[in-house]
Amino acid sequence: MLKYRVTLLVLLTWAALSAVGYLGKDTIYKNYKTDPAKTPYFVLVFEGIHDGIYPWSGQGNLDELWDDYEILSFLTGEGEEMQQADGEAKEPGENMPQETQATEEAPAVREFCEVDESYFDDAVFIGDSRTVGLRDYGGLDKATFYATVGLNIYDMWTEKFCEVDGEKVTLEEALGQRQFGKVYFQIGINEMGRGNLESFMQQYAMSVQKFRQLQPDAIIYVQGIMRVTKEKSDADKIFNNEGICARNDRIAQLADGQTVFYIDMNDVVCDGQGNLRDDLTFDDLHLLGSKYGIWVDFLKTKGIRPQE
Amino acid sequence: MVFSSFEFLFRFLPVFLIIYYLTPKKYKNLTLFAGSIAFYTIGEAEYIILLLGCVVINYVLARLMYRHDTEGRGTRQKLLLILALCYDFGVLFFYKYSGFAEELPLGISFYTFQIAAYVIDVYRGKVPAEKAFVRLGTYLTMFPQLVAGPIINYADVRGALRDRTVSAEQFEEGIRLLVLGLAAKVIVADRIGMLWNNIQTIGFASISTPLAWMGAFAYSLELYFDFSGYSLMARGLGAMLGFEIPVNFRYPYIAKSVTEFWRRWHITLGKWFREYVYIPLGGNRKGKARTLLNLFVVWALTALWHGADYNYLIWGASLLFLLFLEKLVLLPFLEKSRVIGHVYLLFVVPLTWVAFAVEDVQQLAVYFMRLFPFFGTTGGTINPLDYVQYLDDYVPLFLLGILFSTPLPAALYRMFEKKWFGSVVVLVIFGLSMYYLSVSVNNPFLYFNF
Repeated sequence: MLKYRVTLLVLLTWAALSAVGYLGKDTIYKNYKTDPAKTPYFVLVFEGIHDGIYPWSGQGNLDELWDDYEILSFLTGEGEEMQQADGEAKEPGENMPQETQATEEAPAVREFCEVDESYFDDAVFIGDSRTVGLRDYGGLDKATFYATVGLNIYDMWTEKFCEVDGEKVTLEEALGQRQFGKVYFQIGINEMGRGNLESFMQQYAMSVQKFRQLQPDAIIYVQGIMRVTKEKSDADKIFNNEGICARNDRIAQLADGQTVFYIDMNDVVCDGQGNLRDDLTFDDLHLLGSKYGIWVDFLKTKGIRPQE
Repeated sequence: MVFSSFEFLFRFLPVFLIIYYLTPKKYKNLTLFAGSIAFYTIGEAEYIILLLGCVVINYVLARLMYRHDTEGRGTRQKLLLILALCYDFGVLFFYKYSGFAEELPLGISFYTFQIAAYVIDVYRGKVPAEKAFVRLGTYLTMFPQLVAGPIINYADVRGALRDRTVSAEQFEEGIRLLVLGLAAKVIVADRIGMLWNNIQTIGFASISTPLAWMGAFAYSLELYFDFSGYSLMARGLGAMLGFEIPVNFRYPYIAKSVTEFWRRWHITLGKWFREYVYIPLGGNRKGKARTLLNLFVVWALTALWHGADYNYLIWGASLLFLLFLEKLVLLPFLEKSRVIGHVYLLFVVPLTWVAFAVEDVQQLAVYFMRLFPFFGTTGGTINPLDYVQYLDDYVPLFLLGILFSTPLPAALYRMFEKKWFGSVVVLVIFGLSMYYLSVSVNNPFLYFNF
């Protein structure tokens, strides 16, 4: 027996973890997909561990873990407002929808204008790795960046990713400490395989409201998610331009033309078919370091003049 | 089907092993032959004919060479040898260099070298031509080493092909090697390789010089752990089937010269070139000039074997230059030194790997300008502090990679290999490998975050 120690240990581990995965496949691991013809059930256990779901995690706290948006509304205590925001988002409309609350005289939509780099001195950029790239290669040295690789809409208010005075704090804390003139927001690619369009938008609209609360005087730019190349889009069931466009259409509806504006960098980085240009990227998802200038130049055409 | 996939490890392999062990001894080769064909077909069905054709043609030509034990080496034997080699290398050439083929058939670079060695050895009378077709087929297609080596000589496994047993110890040793090889790939290579991936995403024009150097080292470690891990897995699988597959890597990064490095890196390929090219050309016995010429031929072929693109030629030429330099001047000095040799090696070899990695020659030039910024500027937007974050993220992996590039961990492991503690260590390594494989396989986006 002792001669086979490693063999036995490996086989036992395989069997035991597979049993755990199999038993939990419809409960605690229900949100993971497996193909039993190709992968053993124990993969579920490891995937769970990666996301903080352990075999001994009970069903109760799991529902919380899975329904990210509920967690968030619970944490922020804004469930009702959130639904209202969602209702708003569902209103049909173009880039600049009219206010849902009936107003007697809608003020004129504010127009974009050309600005220079100093415009961004009091701006904060919030987002995922694409915004990290803008920070590192965009040359906007005076702007503030609260961005991290892998950031997604569901975790952005709980994760401590903002560096303020050498310390990592949550976005809420960071935005509470300083008032910015502009908030630039681009998020939405990491979570494409998670939740659905509705849960994403619910969360997104709530986040915009939260910006509004924390930065009452700032102009908020909601940016369309940058698309991927044709090669990537055609090959990927989840991370494709169809999904990105569906999200962008809905994000655009959040703009009010007064303090919230929708801008879409895809106008300057995509080809005629609306796919990210091949020559701008290596991995089909991110701009090359030397191409972030295109994004910056685009942003410079989307300034908003202060109101008289 | 790569070894480091769940499909191979937990579906194909267990099923195959059960059938293999249930098969009576007499038919074990047939089972292995069939299993290897199944393995190849799952990976790349359309080229299975090419592989089987290679077995059939070389089997027949080798059998025709010496029809009687008394027959001597003459013109007919030579013609048959040339015919066989023309066919084998002709097919390789067609798929690899002619530009007519869209893709390279799986494993062709490796199995062509193995079968060529076999017919040459038969011609030389080193081994008799194999009479049993299944045995030759089993040898050439054996799935543990079919796709990426190690390159095994027929003579080395001839005995095992006839008669082999798998003892409990052998099987156990096989599992250990398999786990350790897998760990090298998924715990070290795949993860440190992400740095190289990040650098490509940023674009070479935009990386700082420190990051360029980190990239060169990261790629060097990735390549080593990927390839040596694969070879180790092949050895493990071989042991589980009753074959002894030769060692392919012997701590190459602890070498003190490029000459020594290449005696420790991809050992079976080096051995092949020595035995079938360098020595037949006269090796180093015909004077210094002839030795250099022979080295040139070997390295030109080695570069070509790796690929037909220009960057491989640059890579081969840079290695050849270093080998010449060492042979003519540096070697005695490097071998005596205690520190300089190591520093020199760890400086030049990563540079040669950069040439190996970057296929676009223009991009290669850009990379070298980032490595040595005094050569000129590239005009990209460079963030001079980009390396700080990567240093934070990758230092543990670098340390892990460096540590396991030395013989120290293996020496330590050998001290308690046979104890319970040793088995538990292997199990923990297995668990960690499964963890990294799980989170990367089904959802690469959890792993390669945006």
